[in-house]
Amino acid sequence: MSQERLFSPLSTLGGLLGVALLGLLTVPLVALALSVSAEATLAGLRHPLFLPALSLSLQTSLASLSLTVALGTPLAWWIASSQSKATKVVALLVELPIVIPPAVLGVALLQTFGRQGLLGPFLENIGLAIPFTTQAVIIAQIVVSSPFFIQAATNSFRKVDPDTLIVARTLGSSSALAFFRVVLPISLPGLVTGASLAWARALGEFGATLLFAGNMPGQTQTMPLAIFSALESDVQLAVVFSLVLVATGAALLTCLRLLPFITKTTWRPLS
Amino acid sequence: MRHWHASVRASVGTFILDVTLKGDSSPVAIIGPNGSGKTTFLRFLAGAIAPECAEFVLGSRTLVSTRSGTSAPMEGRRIGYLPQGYSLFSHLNVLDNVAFGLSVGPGRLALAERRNRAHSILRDLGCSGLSHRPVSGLSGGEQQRIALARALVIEPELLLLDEPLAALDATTRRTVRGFLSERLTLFGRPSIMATHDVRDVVALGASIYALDSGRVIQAGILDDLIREPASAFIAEFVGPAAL
Amino acid sequence: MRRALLLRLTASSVIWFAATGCAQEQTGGSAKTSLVVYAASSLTDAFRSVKEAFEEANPEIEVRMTFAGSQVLRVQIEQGALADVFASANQHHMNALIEGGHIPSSQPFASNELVLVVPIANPAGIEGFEDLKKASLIVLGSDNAPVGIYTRQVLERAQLALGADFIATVQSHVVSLEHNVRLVRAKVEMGEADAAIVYRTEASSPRLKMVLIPKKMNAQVRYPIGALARSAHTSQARRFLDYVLSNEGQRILHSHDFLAAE
Repeated sequence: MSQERLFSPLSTLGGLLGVALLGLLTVPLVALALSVSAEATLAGLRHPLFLPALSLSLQTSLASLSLTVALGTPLAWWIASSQSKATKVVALLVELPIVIPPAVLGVALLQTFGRQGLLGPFLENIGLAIPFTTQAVIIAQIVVSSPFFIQAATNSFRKVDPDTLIVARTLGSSSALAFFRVVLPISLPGLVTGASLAWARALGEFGATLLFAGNMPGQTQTMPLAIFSALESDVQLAVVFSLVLVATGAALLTCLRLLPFITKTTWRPLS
Repeated sequence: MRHWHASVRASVGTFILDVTLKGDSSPVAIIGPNGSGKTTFLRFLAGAIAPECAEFVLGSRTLVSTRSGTSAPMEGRRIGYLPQGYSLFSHLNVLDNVAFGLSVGPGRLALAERRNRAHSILRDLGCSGLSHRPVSGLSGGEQQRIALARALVIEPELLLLDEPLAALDATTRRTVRGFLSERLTLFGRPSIMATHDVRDVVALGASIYALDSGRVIQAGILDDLIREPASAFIAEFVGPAAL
Repeated sequence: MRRALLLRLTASSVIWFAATGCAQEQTGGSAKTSLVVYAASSLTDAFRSVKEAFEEANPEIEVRMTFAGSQVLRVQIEQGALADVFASANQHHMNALIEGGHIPSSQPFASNELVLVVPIANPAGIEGFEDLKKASLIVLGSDNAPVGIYTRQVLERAQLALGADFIATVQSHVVSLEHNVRLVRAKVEMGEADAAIVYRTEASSPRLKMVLIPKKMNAQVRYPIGALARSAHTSQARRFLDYVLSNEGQRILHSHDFLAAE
């Protein structure tokens, strides 16, 4: 009896439902692409709001991704490898932003870093003002996107066989070296997936950015904010911006997927 | 002659290990049921477990002494560790796995020298043809040899093996057992093997420590355990050899 | 065994999903008629009062209100939103809908004016409109929000009266362009902005201090209201429009600081 026969009725129903879901995910993108003409596309690309928004989106999302990976990796490693009871609490805290609406996170950030916020007076004393700045955009992106990376990284690290580490240490490497030479390469696929998720989330971030950083072309108006603004005057323009964002996102995700292959072929210590 | 002795009391979760073992350059076998503390003891020797109270002396070096507050770092103990499952580095090929220990630490060697030594040990162990293979396709017996090569290449003063033959099928086990006892004799330095199988003990001619629930319940040579087994497990363990 | 259960579960979920979709259509057949009103965000409080009073006088009509920036509501209507009545904060967006054939005609029903608002603590020390250049963090309405369009008119007039430097300084201190007047106001209420330009009707919050804008620089804020051509409830829509324009409706609007239509 072949495997197909074993699951036959379920696989037909499952297949139909799967196709339906896939359709729901992809057909709107196709509809988006078909709804705009070539001339409208060119006009949109030349619109004064376009380049500043795209450039801002790329810069801020790259910055927030770098910080997320730099700060999130050691945190994820601690959560995955520490015996402390605190890891459960920390893991929960890290997951929290995922379930909180972005607008709420935006308000929370204002209440923290704003002039009247918790850290307001302190920041004023050291001459820092965060709301309405590009830094605020980056902070908002980090808050909404880093939980995805940290979760994926933690899961990846948890799968690393602890004996592998013990062996690496007994062979003569320090903790840090064992982490970089053994743990990281083994966990790389999971880390890359996490980074992709985080980058995608940061690129698409809207609610928290709007409330915390504001909406100012060139300063804080990222692509999602520009799309929302464009919707108010010209739906075609919004569609063009949206298509560019989709294409950008797809390109970035593809690049990240290729990363493990690139590092594998260029990193050959002995052979 | 290299002597060693280790006395440790450590708790891992709710499990408490409280044992004292000693040996010289001849192999020592630790036997016991699952959960008796064999792996925990080996991990302590390797340095992965912080004890409450312990003393571990290897040759002329005191690696651990809670009384004087000494605890040599794992990377400095010069101990070779072969865990259950071998734990080969999956992101490196065979050669890189074996050469790993030569590429880290203060004594790390240049690329050419690393390569030579790695090739040399692989040749000794009869695995030359495997050097550029990824570790994922290796058989159990092959993985075992690579793991051994990886540990031996750094010329450790003590070798720890955690059930090295348990993951192999019966036929491979016989061949690898012979190979292993040959290498350990050639190694000539202290080695400690945790095992489930009395045939390993016979092949090594090892002295035995029997563990149960974190304590040593019997110590001696095989004949002692056959004559007067201290527990049902030991009686069952020595069974095949008593015939 | 488990396979059969899973199959049944999946099939019944799909059927339930489809059934609830169909059921939505049928519950509309209850006693009350639903009237959907899209209104500018600045009308939020006033129109909520109007809705209460109107429903009391017309118990067979249930009014469902959606508040947002007029520009957002306009786009939704252009894209086919099923509203019955649209109340805009400026004639510009209403005209776009009239030209597009969505609304046959409109009538003005209220007026407003713009004022400067600052947080109650007034961190920038703004006492008069000319002090606006002292504010380092200014929030205004976006380019397409009516309050933003009116604000630009005010600033153009202010340039004539107070000079290009004044306007340049003010523009350089604008840190955010919000999509409706409520969001503009919120930033000031939270103390994050030094000053903002909003409708007078927005300024009565206890966390705000109001600074008048001289009449000669102020903009004429006109609110038109109209019923949608595709409305399925034209008589009820007409009744609502009449109510808003009636003495009763106007009284409610005045109690919320709106001025009579000019």
